[in-house]
Amino acid sequence: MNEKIILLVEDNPDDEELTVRALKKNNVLNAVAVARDGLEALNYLFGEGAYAGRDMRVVPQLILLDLKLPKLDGLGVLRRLRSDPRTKLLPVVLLTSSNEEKDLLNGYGLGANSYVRKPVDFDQFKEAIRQLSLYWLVLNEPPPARRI
Amino acid sequence: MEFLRALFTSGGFQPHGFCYQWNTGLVWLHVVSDLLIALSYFAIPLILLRIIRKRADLPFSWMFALFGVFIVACGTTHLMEVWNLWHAQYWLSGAIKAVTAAASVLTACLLVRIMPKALAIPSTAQWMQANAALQKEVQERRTLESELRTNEAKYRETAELLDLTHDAILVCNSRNEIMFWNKAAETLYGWPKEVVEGKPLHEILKTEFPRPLAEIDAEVFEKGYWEGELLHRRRDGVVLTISSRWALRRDEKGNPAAILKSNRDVTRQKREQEKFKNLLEAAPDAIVSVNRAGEIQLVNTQTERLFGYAREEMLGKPVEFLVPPRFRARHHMHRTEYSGAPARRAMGAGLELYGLRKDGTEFAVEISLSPIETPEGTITISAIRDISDRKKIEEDLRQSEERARLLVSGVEDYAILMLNRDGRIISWNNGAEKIKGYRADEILGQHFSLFYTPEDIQSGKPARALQTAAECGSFKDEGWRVRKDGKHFWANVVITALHDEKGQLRGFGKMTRDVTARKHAEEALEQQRIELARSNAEMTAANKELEAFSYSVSHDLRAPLRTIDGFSRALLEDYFEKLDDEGRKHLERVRAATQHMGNLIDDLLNLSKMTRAAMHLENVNLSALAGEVLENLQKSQPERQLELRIEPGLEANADSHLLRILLENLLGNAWKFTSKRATACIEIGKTNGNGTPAFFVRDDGAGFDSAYADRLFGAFQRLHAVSEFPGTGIGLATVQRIVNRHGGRVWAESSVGRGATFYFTLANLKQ
Repeated sequence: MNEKIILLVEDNPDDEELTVRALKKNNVLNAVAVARDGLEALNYLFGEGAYAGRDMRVVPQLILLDLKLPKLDGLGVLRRLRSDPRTKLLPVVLLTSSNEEKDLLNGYGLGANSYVRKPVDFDQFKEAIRQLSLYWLVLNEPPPARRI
Repeated sequence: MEFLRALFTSGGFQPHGFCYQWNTGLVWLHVVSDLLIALSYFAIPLILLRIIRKRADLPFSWMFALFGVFIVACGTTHLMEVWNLWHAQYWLSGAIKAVTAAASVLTACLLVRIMPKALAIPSTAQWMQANAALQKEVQERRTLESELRTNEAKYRETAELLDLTHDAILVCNSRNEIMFWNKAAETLYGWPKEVVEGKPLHEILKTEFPRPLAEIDAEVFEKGYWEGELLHRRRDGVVLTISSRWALRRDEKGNPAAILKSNRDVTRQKREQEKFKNLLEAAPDAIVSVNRAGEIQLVNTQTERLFGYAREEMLGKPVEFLVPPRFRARHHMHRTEYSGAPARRAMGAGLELYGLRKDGTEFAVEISLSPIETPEGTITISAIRDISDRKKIEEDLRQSEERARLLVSGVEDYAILMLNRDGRIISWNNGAEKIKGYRADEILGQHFSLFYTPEDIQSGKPARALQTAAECGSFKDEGWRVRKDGKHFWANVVITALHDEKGQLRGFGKMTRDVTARKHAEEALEQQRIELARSNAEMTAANKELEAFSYSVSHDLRAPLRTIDGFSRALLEDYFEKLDDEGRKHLERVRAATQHMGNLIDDLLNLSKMTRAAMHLENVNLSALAGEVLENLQKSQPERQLELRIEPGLEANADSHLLRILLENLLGNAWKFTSKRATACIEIGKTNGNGTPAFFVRDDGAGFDSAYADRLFGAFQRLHAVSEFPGTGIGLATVQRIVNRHGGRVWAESSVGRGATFYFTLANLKQ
């Protein structure tokens, strides 16, 4: 399994669908795993809970992480990821509605690789997704794969 | 032997009485006469002998001896005559007669020999005459002698007297050789009379004259008298100052015969005088000595300096001459009184005394008088001190004290009182009366603890206050005190320990202020503070809520918009064919509205950020900042033709980030509202209109109706249709928010079509 999958952490099904649509429209054909809250995202990544026994060789090439999430919010997830050696180096792009300075600072502070604000205008959103996937999935050389 | 026997025998002859026939009368006549003659003859030699003894000077004394022998022999013959009356020893009487004859002959012969000599001896008459002459002469001589004796006694006495005098008396002849030298001279100069007599005086004493000797001599010869001071050297070399008086004696012809010099050693007096003079000069005061007549006798240099006269100008003048004219009569009177009962004292006690300078100016003086007895009579020594400086200081001090006293007594807002060391009140001002309610007459002498509450008195607070003040210099306190009427007031009290020059505690100064009003104000303020803290907490909570709200807005309000826009787009893409033009247009309007709302939300969030962002005040170059902003605008629309005027050197103490946003909004507006003109002008500068320095941004664009000027700065308030000029109506609200945060003010002037000017101030606007 050497597929470059994307983990989308998003609780809003509308946003989830629009994001997936934007990926498709941009011809990004990678598989997209979706976690609908912070805890699910962690379970998925560490193969715990509902994801226990998942093929842990499947490591997301990119995590698109919303900030405002049920149970455990995006920053909480990021903190866990960066404190665990298995996920410390995973590229995480914060994809959120907020442009609060506080969120930006906290996000980068916890080791986010990028911070992208979701525009209201879908055309702009689509463009943002296009550039993101191009950069992170194509241009960017990921850190050496590790078994989680 | 035979002869001797014959001599003492009668030899047979009849006694001589037979010749007289023993006639008793005749016999006895012979006997008595012969005995008397014999007696007389025997007595005469005794007298002669006595004369010779007594008068050894008599000439021919041996003749008297011879006469003596001759007379004794004659006497013996007469005795023999008596003896022969009854005893006829005629040989014996003959022998005696022979001896007598021999003595007589010898005497007669010698007499003949000495007769010429005896004749040379004057006769008795001559003697008498000579004697009388002699007598007369003797008499005369005796008189002379007695006169001489008297004179000699007198002379001796005089000489002795001259010896007795302490002055050295010497007499010199006209060649200045010493003729007389008394004991005192010996003592004074150490030269004995015998050594110096006949010697030249001035060589012996190495005299130094005040002027040439020739001049002095000339004066003596002319006037017969000279007096002056000389220097003489004693035998042991010590130099003496001598007061010398010379008197000339002339002989019968009137020629100078001798000079009598009376010398007195005045070295010590001279030294004393010198000392006195030095003392006089060293004295810090002007010293003037005045005789009984009120004439100035002596002054020191200080006097010259003080009064401006030279010494010679003052000496001999009446002392009133140094007194201002208006005091002269009185001074004269006082002086007369003083000389009646001189005593050492300060002059004019309690009076203001003034001196008069040569230049006519007056000055305050202090004078002390001391009488001195001198041979010339009582002299009054006045020590005069210029006290004008001191007087001025005293006057200043007096005035200052007076002012201070008036100030203290007049102060109404402070109770200012003084306490003695025990805490009893010794002074009381108006303020004290006003604050504490007691009048001075009812409080003086009372203990200050009267003002304290019973609890404070109980706990010993008043005593502690004094103790602390005494130990630390002062004591400060605030607390409740009691008025006369029993009401309490909140007092601010300062008690200060007062010390005299020696550092001894003299008492305390106490200053009390009624700060009840302040106390109440403070309490009110405290209340306010508590309320403010509460409202602050509320504000903080509200702010937190606002933050949460903003967060929620940015997240939750935008998400549905994105959904609406996104799915509208999806519809347009996926169902393009199924929709007619009308449907597609509707969807486009949905999308436009959605995006507009998105912009509104973003603006609103930005506005709230303006409120919440932390401020960092710094010196900002407003001109440069405006330049950058306009440059960006120009870049966004390079085709536009504008005149941009930026006043150089505009500076403000502001948060540079917020100030940039402010300028972006104001200049952005100007840019926007001039967009319909082919050419336009945008100006930024500083004005001082209305007395308030303010920055301004001016354009010559569309302008607005000033009737609506007050609505300009409200959020989402717009005076133009979006179709005319785009915008959300949040820009000026943001500007106002930023200006407010800087403590400044923003306002606008405009009329439609005439452009607009926006003024703003920042609290720390630099002039």
